[in-house]
Amino acid sequence: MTKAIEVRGVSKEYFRGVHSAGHTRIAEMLIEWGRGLVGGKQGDSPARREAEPFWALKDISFTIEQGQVVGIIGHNGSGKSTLLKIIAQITAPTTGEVQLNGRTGTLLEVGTGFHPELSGRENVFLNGAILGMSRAEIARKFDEIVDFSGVEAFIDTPVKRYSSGMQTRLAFSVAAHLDPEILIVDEVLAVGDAEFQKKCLGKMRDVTSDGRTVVFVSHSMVTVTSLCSQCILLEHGEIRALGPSHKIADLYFSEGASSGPALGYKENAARPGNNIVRLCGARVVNSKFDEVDAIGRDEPVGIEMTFEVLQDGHRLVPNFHIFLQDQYAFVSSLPNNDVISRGTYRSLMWIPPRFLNNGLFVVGVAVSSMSPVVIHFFEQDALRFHVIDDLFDASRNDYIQEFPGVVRPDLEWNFVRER
Amino acid sequence: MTSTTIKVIKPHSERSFAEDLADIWAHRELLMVLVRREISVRYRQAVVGLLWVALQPLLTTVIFTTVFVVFVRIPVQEQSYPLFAFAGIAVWQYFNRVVAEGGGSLVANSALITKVSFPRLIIPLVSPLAAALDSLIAILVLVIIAKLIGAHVSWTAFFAPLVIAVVGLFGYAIALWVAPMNAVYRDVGIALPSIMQVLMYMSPIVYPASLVPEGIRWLYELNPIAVMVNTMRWVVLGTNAPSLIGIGMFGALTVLLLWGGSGLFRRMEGNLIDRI
Repeated sequence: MTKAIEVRGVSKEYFRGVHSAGHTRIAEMLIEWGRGLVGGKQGDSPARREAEPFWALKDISFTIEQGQVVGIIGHNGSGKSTLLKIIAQITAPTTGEVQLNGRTGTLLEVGTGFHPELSGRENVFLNGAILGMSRAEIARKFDEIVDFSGVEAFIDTPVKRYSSGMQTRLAFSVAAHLDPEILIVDEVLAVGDAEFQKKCLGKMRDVTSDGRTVVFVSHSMVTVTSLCSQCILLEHGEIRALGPSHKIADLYFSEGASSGPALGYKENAARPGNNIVRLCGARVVNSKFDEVDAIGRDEPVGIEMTFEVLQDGHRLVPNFHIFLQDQYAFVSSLPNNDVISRGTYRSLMWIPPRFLNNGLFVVGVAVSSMSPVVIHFFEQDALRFHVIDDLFDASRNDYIQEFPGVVRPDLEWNFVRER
Repeated sequence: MTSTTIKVIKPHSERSFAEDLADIWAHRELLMVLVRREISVRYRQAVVGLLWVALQPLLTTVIFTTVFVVFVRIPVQEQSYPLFAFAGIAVWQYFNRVVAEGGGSLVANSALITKVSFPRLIIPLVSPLAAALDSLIAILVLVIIAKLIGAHVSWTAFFAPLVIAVVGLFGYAIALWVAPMNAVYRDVGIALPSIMQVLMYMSPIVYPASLVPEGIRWLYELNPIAVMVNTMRWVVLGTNAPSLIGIGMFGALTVLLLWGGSGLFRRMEGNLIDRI
């Protein structure tokens, strides 16, 4: 595969004071210069003292192969917008360089350059040209663009008479018909009404499955895991991690997580437990019994533990405790209260498909006796797995943001007309 | 899709003047779209539309004719004063608009340049092109009025568009300095109208050069604005041609300002949006 984007040691320095003030005044510059002349130390002026430098990006390097769809994710202030602006050639890096191999298109905003006095038709040509399309290209796609936007009845009306939703739809239609080899997209998707959002996301998915290189910046993990195969996690201007999206998503939600999809103990002494029962291992599996750290919401999740019983005659109940980001989801235990004899046992629990919400789940693994209650061992953070949602799932009703809650089962609904 | 487009983004742009020109040429469609937007938006809602283009210099001419000819009674030779003033005002209004709008163009278009990447050099070029249409119409009006009152119109009036192009180029060269400076230091934009006003009265736009003391008149006529205005009068009305030294110096100054301005622009454009 060939490289589409190569970022080499990119850093970006900003000056806090001056930039938040917008601009420097010449008077300040002259005062500064005058101080230098009379022998005073330069850099004493209020303007200079205010101008505290900070690095928005620190030595960023990565490569994106041709055809990859890569998400850049990070909390506010992590530098993701700055990185996007550098790759989009809107601002220059302070050090380092970026190489782009291919025709590049940028979508940082919907409707850049739209003029309210001009008609929809004129704005399509204007906006298309600004985004880098040739006049012939726009003319060829014009019908398609207008069709997609759904505003054909008003195409010769000045855009100032449009509702904001209509403007957005027309603007996105132009953007959606941009046809570059490398597409750089900001979170412009969160615009318009629900129906149109879904249409946009559908278009985005077409684009991303088209063999085109796409860089997508977002803070919505759902969108990124759904659209991007690879992901770069930025933190305080540095790359915290990069790799497959679901792994990065785990990191994003878990800050310092140690557990994974499997837990095992090589030495007997390390096994949690007492002289009655000890934990040997645990894992998360999919329906094919493969250990996995990410499972689609449509699939069942299997959680398994192996434990060794050291004494006969105890009633032992294995149980799992499921958490989503510190919220207790549920606890489930083996419905069996028989006396168990010595030996090694394996217990597997299935979480049905379409039951959990999407997100990073933490599993606590325990074996207890119920009467009297004795907890033989309880490993609180034994396993982690990620449930990945499909943004186009019918149960979402076109809603593309995060759903609250730890579970999201399909429930039976009734809907009748009363009168 | 196969492509050989390779682009390297570096801290400082290492383009040359020739590459700048190639860059502008490659984006000529976008430039023309922006020019068209400027023109159609300007007259879209005005009832008399393009008539304003003729009315603006006409009105100014009427005012100055009243002041200088009726009240002050300045000595006017050869040409009738209104035609003389109209030609000067038409050129001056074009030049003034190119410098003022071109100089403010980066700030005015900050919404565009913070969102899309394209050669920033085309931004200050929109005004010279869009306003050139107005300027052409004004000169056409001048020719019509001169014919109507039976004044002499030189056949060289056909070269008026060329003079407009040269004035536009000179204005663009200045806008290349003003635009990035104005984006960083807003004082520039505030001071500019006053400076332009001083320049206007330092040039033979509304009064003839014959009013200037003879001892310094040669220096006065080397003023690039005087050269531009006098060239237009020479070409259209057949007045005395500006001196060759004046034209030569004007040419050299234009090249110098263009070269230096594009260099300054290039150096500042990379980090401009962080400071706008």
